[in-house]
Formats: sequence, C-alpha cells, structure tokens
Amino acid sequence: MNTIYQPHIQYLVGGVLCFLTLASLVAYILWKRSPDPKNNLVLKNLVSRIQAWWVMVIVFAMSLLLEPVGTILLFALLSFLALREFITLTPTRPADYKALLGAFFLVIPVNYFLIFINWYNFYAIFIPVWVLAFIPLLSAIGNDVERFLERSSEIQWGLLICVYFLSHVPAVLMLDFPGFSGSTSSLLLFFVIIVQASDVLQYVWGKLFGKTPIVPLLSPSKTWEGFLGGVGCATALGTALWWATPFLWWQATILALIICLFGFWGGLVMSAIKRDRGIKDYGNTLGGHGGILDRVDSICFSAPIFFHLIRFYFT
Amino acid sequence: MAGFFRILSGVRRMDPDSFIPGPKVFYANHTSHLDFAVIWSALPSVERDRVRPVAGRDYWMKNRARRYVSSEIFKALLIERQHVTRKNNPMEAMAVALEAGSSLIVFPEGTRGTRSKPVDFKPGLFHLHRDCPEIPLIPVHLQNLNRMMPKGAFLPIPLITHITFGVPVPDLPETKEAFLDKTLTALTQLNPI
Repeated sequence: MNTIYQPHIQYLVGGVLCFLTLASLVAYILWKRSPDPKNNLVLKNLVSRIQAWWVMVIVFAMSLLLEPVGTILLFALLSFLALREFITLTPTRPADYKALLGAFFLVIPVNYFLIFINWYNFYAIFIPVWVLAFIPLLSAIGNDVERFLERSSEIQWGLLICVYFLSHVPAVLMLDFPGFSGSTSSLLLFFVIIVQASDVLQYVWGKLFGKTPIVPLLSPSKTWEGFLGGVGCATALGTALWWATPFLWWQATILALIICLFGFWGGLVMSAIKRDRGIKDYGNTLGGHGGILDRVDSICFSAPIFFHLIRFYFT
Repeated sequence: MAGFFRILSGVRRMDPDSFIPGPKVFYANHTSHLDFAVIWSALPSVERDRVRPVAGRDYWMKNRARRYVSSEIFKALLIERQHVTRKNNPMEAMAVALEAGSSLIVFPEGTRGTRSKPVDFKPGLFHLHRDCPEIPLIPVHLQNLNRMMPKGAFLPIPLITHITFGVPVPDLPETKEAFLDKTLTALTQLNPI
C-alpha cells in the first residue's frame, strides 16, 4: 500500500500543513497591522521563511509519495547541495580535483544506493572507512603540499556531515520494527518534524523572550530562553506524537529530547564553522533561511544518533 | 542556457538596474573555461543580449563544436592572437563592435591563470580604452572557478561561484603603466577575501 494512504502519515502531514497555514495567517495579520511592513526586516525575513517552508514541506510530502525511492533521492540531492555549500568554504586547490570529483559524483550515489538496496553492513562502513581512507590519497596524488592536512580533513568532514550523517534520515527506512503495524516513513516524519519544530520553536522563543546568549561569540541569537522554551515544547510535541511511532509515550519523550539536544549542538557546530569563515549563511537557496546547510545542520547531527538509538533498542 | 549555467555555478542573475545603459566593457580575471559563460549567465537579459565575449580565434575555430559554441551561443568576437596584421587588428574589431552597440567581455590577463589572484594585465585593455575612451570599463571578479574547473579538467566540480561586478573605473590615467595598475587594483579590490 502506498505510504501516503496510511492514516499516520496523513495525520502528520495534515498537522504540518494546518500549522503552516496558521503561521501564514499570523504572518499575514502581522503584515497588515504593521505600519511599514516593507522596511520591517524581521517581518520580511519571517514571511520569506514561511514561503520557503511551504516549498520544503510540499517537496518533502511529494517525496513520500514515491517511498522509498523519492525520499532517498531527495536526501541524495540535499547531500549534494549541502556538500557543495560546504566545499565552497574550504581552501581546496586544483590538486584536489580528483578527490572532489569522487566525493560529488561517486560517494553520494553509492552511499544512497546502499540504502536503497538495504545493505546496512556495507553502508555503515562505506564512508567512515573506505572513503575517508581514499580521499587523502587522491589529494596526495595531486602533488601539492600547501595546506594539505587542512584540505583533506575538510573534505572528509564535509562528506561525513553532509553525506554520511544526513543519509541516516532515509536510512531509517531500512529498519524493521517487529510488531509495529505502521510504516517506517511515519518514523522518519516523526524525526524530521521534531528536529525542525525544535529549530522553529527555539527561533520563536528566542525572538520573544531571548536575553541571555549561551555562546555569544558563536551565535548571539541562540539564547537560554530560546533553547529551554524551544527544546521543552518540541519534546512535548514528540511525546504527543508517540502514536505515529513504535515507541511508548515516555520513550517518545526521551527520544525527542535527545533529538532536540543533538539538533541544537549541530546548529551550534555549524555556526562555529560559519563564524570561522566569516560568513552569515552557507548559501541563498532557501529565501530567509540561508542555504541548504543552514536548514539541515540540526538534522545532520541528530540523525545518526536517532538512527542508532532506535536500531539498538527497538529492532 | 543561461539558467543552466546559473544552476551549475550557483550565481544569481543581476538586477538590470545595477548597470548603466549603453555599451560597456566587462573585464575579468581569467581562471577557467567557464569564465565568460558564468559572467554571461549572471547578466540581466537586456545586457546579455548585447554582450560579446572576446576570445582567441586559434582556440575557438579549431573544430565544429567550438565554432558552434562560440559563434551561435555566445556570439563571441574572435580575435587573432598569434599573427596580428594590419588587416586583422583585434583592436579595430573590438572598436567596431562597441560602436555597433555591443558590450564586450575581455580577460586582460590573456591566458588562464593557475593562481586564484589576478596576474599582471596585458596592454590590450589600455589600447582599447585609448581607441574608445567614452566606453566605461567595469571590473568583474570571479572566485572559485579555478577550483571548479582547473586546467585539463573535463567535468566541473559543482562549487558555488562568487561573482562581483564593480562600478566603472573612474579617472583613468593617461600613461600605460598607471592605467594597467589602476584597472588591476580595481579588480583585485573586488575580492571579498
């Protein structure tokens, strides 16, 4: 049976669409009531963020129609775009040409193909062992020593975060839960909803009540108020969505909390990289949000943790 | 076609209001084969329709595919690089194109550099300015293209290109050395890092 006809999926997607409609209405009212909306930067940013959310939600929902190929292809594309943004910031030189060509056109397809054919054992070591060993080799053949360690380790890091970590989202589809009648797609949806809700709620709480920055040098917009409010609310949301997962309600609480914490840390680490390079956003693909990497940073770090926790305890 | 190059290189199309009307000369640092395609695709359509990249005849006439790309897609102005005579004087061809209302894209470094910083300019730009002094010279800085497509590469690495258009260089000096120095500095200053 197609995933989209399953009630769990319909409730989750329907809930997100309702919430987005509500957010659009609120933004519309704020826009109408603002004396000079065109010059209100926060409001403008909010509107373009919501518009980008519509696009992202629709694309994501469409990918569920073609499960699992659609989801796998979508995340392969996201990996490609995120890696592109990441490598652009690194000091790679013409000598890294072969390594980069392999990274973009070989590693990404193979990694996602392994998910598609359900070969977990090879998938788990493909990038961490094989690719990480070959990358510096290919760079070394380029016969250029300048900043060699920096160049190869940054390509390795880019592949680890943008491809390996991120691919753990569709990898959830490989898992098999004994006794769970729903589809694993609803679990994937549960995860993505919690991470993104945590980001959005931290943003909202931070904008409303944020005073005390946690790490002012890294990111002045990440505050204790935003963190506690956002993570608290997103954990509560995770608990409330337990019915879409194979977990009991308190298991859903713990998992949602862990997802939120790692998502927050992921955002922090990626901010540190941005500050180091002296930029604000990784790109301009998603209006108001920045680049792809600005949106998926929290997913990248929480996906492998979530994947391995549920693989260890529930399968 | 322009959209394809924009997706490939990650550049955005410029706003038509950011350019003064009329023919102009864009001069850029030369880092890869994709340079003029990327500049071309970043221009708003009204500018793109009248722009002609200036390229070496010896390279672009070599086979049918290159001839097609240079003449049909980019409407390139092909100039002689090796056996320059009075008849095929490249300066004259450029001046004629500018008078006909075209804009030009030139790479004053001549050959493609292997470094990411622009090297010394050849005097061509100076002669062009002396022949057509009223034409504005606009520096265009390209970054990352040499990493995307180093010399000898067959497939580009899909990095994001940064393209920066400068303002027309003001108060151009009379002497050749000062002129080349000033235009080179105007281009180098566009480098964001």
